[in-house]
Amino acid sequence: MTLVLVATITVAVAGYLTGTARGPHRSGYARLDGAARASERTRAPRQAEMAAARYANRNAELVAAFRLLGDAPRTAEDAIILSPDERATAVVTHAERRAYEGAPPIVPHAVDQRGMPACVVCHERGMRVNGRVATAFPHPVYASCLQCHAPTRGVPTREPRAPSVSTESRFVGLSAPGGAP
Amino acid sequence: MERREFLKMTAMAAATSAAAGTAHADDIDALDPIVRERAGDDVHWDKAPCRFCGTGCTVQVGVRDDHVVAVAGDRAAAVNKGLLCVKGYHVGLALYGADRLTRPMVRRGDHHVPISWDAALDLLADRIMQNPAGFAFYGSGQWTIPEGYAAQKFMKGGLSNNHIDPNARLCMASAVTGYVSTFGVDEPYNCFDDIDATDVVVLWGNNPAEMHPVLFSRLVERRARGEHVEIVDIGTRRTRTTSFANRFIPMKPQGDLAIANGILHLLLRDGTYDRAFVTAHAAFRHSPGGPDLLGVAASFEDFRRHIARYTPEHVHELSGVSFADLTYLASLFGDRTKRVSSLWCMGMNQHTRGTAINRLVHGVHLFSGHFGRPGDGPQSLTGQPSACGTVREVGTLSHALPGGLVVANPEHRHTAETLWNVPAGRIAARPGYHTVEMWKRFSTPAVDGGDIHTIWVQVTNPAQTLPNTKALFEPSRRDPNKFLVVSDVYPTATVRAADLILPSAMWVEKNGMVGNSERRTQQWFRMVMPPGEARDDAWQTIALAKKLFDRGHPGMRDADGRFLFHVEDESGAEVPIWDFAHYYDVNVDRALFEEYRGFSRLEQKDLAPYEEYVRARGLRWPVVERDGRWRETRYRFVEHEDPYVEAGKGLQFYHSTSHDDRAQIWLEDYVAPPEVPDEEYPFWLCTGRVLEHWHSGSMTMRIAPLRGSMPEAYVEMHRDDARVAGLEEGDQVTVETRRGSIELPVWIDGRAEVMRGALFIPFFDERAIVNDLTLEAYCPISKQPDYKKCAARIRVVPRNTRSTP
Repeated sequence: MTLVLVATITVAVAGYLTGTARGPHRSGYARLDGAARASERTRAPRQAEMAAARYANRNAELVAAFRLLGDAPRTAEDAIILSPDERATAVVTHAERRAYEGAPPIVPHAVDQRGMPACVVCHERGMRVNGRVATAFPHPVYASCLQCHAPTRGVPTREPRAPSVSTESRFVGLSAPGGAP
Repeated sequence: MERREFLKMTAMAAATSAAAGTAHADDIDALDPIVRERAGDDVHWDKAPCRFCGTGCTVQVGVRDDHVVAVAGDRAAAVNKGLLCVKGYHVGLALYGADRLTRPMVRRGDHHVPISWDAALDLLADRIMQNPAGFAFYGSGQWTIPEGYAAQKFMKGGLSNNHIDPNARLCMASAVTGYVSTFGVDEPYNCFDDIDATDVVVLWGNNPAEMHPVLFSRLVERRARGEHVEIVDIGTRRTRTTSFANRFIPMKPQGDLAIANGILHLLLRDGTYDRAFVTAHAAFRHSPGGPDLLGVAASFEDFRRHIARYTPEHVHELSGVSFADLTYLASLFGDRTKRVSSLWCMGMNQHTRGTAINRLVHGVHLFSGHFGRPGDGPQSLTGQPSACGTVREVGTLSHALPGGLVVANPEHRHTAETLWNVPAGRIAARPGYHTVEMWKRFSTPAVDGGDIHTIWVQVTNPAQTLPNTKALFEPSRRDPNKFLVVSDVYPTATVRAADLILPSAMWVEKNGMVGNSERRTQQWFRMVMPPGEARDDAWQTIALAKKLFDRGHPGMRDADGRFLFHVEDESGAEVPIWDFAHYYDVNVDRALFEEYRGFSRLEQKDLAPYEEYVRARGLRWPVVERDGRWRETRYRFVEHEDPYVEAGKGLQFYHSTSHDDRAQIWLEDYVAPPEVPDEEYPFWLCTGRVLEHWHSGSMTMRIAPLRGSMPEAYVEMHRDDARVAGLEEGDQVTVETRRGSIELPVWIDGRAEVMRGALFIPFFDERAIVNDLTLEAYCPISKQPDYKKCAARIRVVPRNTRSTP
């Protein structure tokens, strides 16, 4: 195994030096070609760079999140008194985001899938963000938020694969008392 | 704290918890009163364990008009204390996919046509009568305890046929052999209470934030209460769990064997092992003649010689783990002021040296004395709701009998024959085929030695979950002499390939009992009716047995000539439970369980009467009656906790394979994996699960919020590898191994970050079956395959030329 590794690294370094390391191999198979040059490693982009095309692809959601921060309230006091229209919308979205009354709502915005998302920043007490309302937790603060709240955007596929199973459900959940469907 | 002092405290704690009613949480309102009030009076609530993983959370199920309308966490449940994960909150929706199977179907050419239950069972009975020895039963860790018990008794006690094995062979067989060879008896000695008490959790290739989310929350919520809990994550992939960890220790695939040996090496070299513990409670073991379950005694000198070669330099070479990380691990285990827990699941079990790595991790704990105190010990987690209850305790494995007995032991066979009241000699002595062997023989023509002609699959989806499906599953589907019967709830990949399809009732559509990862046996009642003609799996087995009985198969009679599944009502009259119209005239689960209980007392795995489980949110065995109360056991082998430990012993391994109350520290070597990346296939391929989906996705892909969150499989790739290959996130690639190929989108640093040169693909998606790619090589002792390591290559699919699924 050591030999294999040494061989791989040797091939890799040679490949890199001769400039063949990049892109698919002639055979059409991706090569596992050694270390990318240190300077090519992704460093954390500065905020000013976030909108640049280079990052737009994989960081589109993050860019959006950064932009939103500009609209965030400075104090907790100016958060959350719903207008009548907002209240009407909230009743609808409340039901749309839950499988039944009492179910944990899905996360209706992009979120870091991997780590500990910073949910508490907006949801601990609730706030307005970019014209939307982040509701306050109705339950104690837990650290592993995505355990209960499913994020809505996952695999970054360009053409979603057609379902192979029925997506129709006969489930009829409990609805909110006196409220939405 | 001194051990003696600790034991005293434990005794007091045990007395208190018994007085406070550990067994029954009657004083806690199981349902949040607000939820109850909002739901209204017409919603009836009752408890059930969640249908999904081995954590065993209790849910409160809200039913209105014969329909599950809501689910809530059960606040009286010790496991989850009112919390659930996203799968648990949506478990009720698993019943209502529009394509539920509602009637038996038989293959006619390339499609299936309806058939009556009676005709379906006749068809299967005829096949068995022609050649009973060529019939095999392939079950599951999702079988309820009574279902597994019925299948077990039908096969071993009725047909004298030991070809019964479960999908749990693919999931925790190495944990079983690890426990048996270390402690002489299977299953964790400890329990989830460790999570509340530990100072440091060492995760061995484990991602509980996604796989056991409620347990993981139980751990990290301690931090919110101001407690210090350190998480050390040893793995090949930075996961969601890693983001909560204090330290991530990256290792090469298979490196765990070297790391554990390296820790033992440093503990010995530095004299930081627990000399007193080892002297009093441990013995050394090895198997110089090749892999063996029980081995022979080794001396401390043998151990010293063996461990000498695992220097930090050598361990680094084998595992990639740095000197600093290894020293850190050794210092953790060398420090007895801290309580250290090890947790593992598929990373260690799905391993061609799965038994060895299980033994080694137990060995690290025994050698360092991190054993026996709450929060201080090794614990394997299981993936299925009843991998422990049905597979390990009922013994639905090809070599096992209920209650920890084995078919190879004549006394055990005699005991089982007595309890089943069947004639002496009924049970065959030779173990049946384990999973890989069973399917290999089913996929091999009879003339070439493929002596399995019919397999009945219940509660699992082997077309998607067997390794190397192209070799183990598909050939049988082209052989007209092979007959596949599948009981399931949805048209899975296996169902679509079946010759006979039997529609099953699921979860709260039937009575049930399961056993979770911490020896906790749980019970629930039927709450809604199954759709159409869907029926309980246990009924299906019993009804088939009756067909064979009627055809005169001698095995379907007990020693008194009665039907093998003879059940009486209160008046002593036989209830025709083979007729589904009468199946619920009595509680068949209760009848089967009470019979099975007889086995539980043989190896100190005592179960309480059925009624105790009706009241409880599960009880951890051994459950023994003392002073008129049924008391569960948190820690086996520990005095004042385990009723079977003799007074004054402190710690007693009363099943010791060296017959001296000692546990075994095994001498195990690093062995390279059977397939490693090379020039042609340069990547490591690892497979696994994601939070939203449960196993092959047959239930969770039909639940909109779960499917919406994780709609399709992907291949996780390191960003540097992607860049070198000219790939961007979302690009389609073909992933190939020597066994097959599938097409997937690339996800870079999405749900997790793999190492350079590694790929990860989840197995939930039947449109991209990753097990077309995996290797069927297995641990020589546990026969559990390794789904975590094989060699792969990737080819870029030019954009806009994607093939349709």
